[in-house]
Amino acid sequence: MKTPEKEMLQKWVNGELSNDSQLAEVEKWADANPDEASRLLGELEQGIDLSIVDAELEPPYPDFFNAKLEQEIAKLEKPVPSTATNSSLRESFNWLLAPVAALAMVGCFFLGFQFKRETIKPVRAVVENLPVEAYVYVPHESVTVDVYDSDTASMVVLDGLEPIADDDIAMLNVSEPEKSVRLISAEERDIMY
Amino acid sequence: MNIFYRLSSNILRGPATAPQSDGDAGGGGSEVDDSILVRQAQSGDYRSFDQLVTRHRGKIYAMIMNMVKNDADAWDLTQDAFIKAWKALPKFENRAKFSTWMFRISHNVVYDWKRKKKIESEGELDDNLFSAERIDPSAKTTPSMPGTPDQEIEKAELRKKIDNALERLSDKHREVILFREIQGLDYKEIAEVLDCSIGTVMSRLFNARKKLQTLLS
Repeated sequence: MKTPEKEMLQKWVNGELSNDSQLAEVEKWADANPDEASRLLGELEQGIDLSIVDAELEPPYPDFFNAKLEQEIAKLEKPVPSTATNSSLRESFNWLLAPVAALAMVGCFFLGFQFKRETIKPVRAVVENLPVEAYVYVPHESVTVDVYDSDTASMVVLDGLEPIADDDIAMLNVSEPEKSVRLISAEERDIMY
Repeated sequence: MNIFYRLSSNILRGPATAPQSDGDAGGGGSEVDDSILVRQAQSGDYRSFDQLVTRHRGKIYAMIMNMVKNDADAWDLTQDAFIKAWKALPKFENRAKFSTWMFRISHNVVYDWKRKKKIESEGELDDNLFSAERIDPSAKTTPSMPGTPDQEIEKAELRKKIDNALERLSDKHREVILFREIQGLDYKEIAEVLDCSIGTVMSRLFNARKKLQTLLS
């Protein structure tokens, strides 16, 4: 297809091409010759000056952006236990399932008579024992972070922070508001743990 | 794809295979080309993908930010775009530029989000009715422009005027203007990103420019 005249292209770029057939001709040509159209029209157009609008803008906390992304992707990548590869082996022991299940039932029935019923663990205790992945992000490279978990508390130790005036410290224990939260020094931590 | 290899590369984070760099890699100098990093990432090297993220996150975030006009949403949507890119990376054939492919993903992410938001907010009060003054010239996302106070004010006013004009364009018109005028993509690339013909890009751009000029004049 023949390249439209430069004058016509310029008119199109300037928005002055009012003739529908010419407009259709230019668009048809551009669809058939994308590379040439892209180059020629790019040369001819006089864009609106929008240079003040950012073409690139770092997201706030860019290093955290990458770290969070890596964390999210790692979550996606956690291997799911495969059942397919072991299926043939498992199938070969299928005949054992019925007698084992019967024996287990008898065993449970017997044990039920032998032992006192244990106290059911409170739901709250079960929830508290669930493993929680701690992820602490610190924007300052000079600050180091240590996380300590014990039965009664989780502690995050930040070393390298500027001293904070007592008046500026807000303390709040969200999970257990009745318990107080205390800031301690690294030395004190070494003594405690 | 070897999941364990990918996971171990996540955890161990061995020495960098290429120097950190910003912007598009043209393949010259010591800068590793995007296509090399893409191939390494495709073979499970997260470190290479991380470099691609560092290199392109600014463009993608700026584009999304210009579309959604909200820091937090733009941050989350940029994350979504890169997560989708990681998932789709094995299918990426390296024929298009990585940045063009990322723009395409971010275009889909933004449109999905807008569609979902529209459905969720149907019947609710539109927050945008009260948002005429919400672009804060002192916000972190506003570029820092050293100059005299008068120049600063002038630039801030111009920026505000352009932002308002862009905001009054339809999503399709705003997007095509941003791709062409801000990101500097050519017609063919825009057509690839928007999954439409060059003719459509041309007419959309023509109408968008016309409207924008009216709004700015």
